Amino acid sequence: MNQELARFLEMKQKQAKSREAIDWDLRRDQYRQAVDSLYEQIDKILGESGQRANLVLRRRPKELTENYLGTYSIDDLILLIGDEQVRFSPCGRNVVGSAGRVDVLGDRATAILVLGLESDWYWVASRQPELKTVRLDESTLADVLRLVMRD
Amino acid sequence: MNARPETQTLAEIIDWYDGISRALALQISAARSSSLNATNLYPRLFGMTEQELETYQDHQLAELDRLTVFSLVASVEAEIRLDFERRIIARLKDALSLDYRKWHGSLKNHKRRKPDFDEGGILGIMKRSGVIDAHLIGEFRECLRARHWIGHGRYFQRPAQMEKLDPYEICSRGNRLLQSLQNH
Repeated sequence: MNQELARFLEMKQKQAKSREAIDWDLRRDQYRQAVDSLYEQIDKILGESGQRANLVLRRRPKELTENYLGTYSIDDLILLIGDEQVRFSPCGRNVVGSAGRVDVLGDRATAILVLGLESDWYWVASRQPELKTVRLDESTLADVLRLVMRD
Repeated sequence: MNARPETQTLAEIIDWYDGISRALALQISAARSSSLNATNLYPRLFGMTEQELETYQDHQLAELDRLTVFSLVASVEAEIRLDFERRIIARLKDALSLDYRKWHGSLKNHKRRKPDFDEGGILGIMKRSGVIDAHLIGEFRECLRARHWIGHGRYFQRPAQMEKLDPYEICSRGNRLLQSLQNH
């Protein structure tokens, strides 16, 4: 066999093995778990705001399909404030530069939350000219809601 | 004929096109395999899903194709105009040059300085002279319509021919016409 071809095929086999080594089921489960934690965090922050009684939080299941992960069920979180709705909607585990993403869709805009290395969620405050991410907390959630909801 | 022309050959444009499209492919590939919190990642791609990456790449490539089509067609026009000037100035005696000169002589002063190119212009005379295969001129004219659409901000309906006119096709058509021109 041609040496070059043999080297190429060997390299492809190694690549395939390294892909196999990734536990995709585990990645998917970790992502779903992280999304659950995010929703609990939001519920907690809203509770601490003293306004929880005036808000409605609902979960709505949906299906996501991703390469290597297949099709799996995951929840959207719907936040109802008066006549406005904000939807926290998971987009996928396999996204560039982070371990998962949830979009926050309001009447005015969409914000992006991404999952960091330590299972913390971050708001992508800007992508350009420079990437700026801010850890999600009470203050950040307020910024996100201010951005996506009507004036 | 005032300043020195800064024309680009078709090969130079295609070389640029290949380089940029390869750089884009590398950028996307690097994004796909980027580790968490990678510092060398192009921020625009951060957080994109696989589908978004594909859409982004398709869009960038389509724009690159169009700009390249524009440059290629403009380059062929420049070559044809320079060839026209050479034939007029050198007072060449071949059939095409004679037809060019006769037509050029009939133009008003401002048109002589910058003669029309397509209909009723240099290409029209080239076709009428019968020296160059009319099919070569016709297939290049399709490219002109594509350039026109891009160059005028795409405010009117996209020419149907755009679908089959990628940079390599434009390059082939341009080369065929220029080669034929050189042979006469």
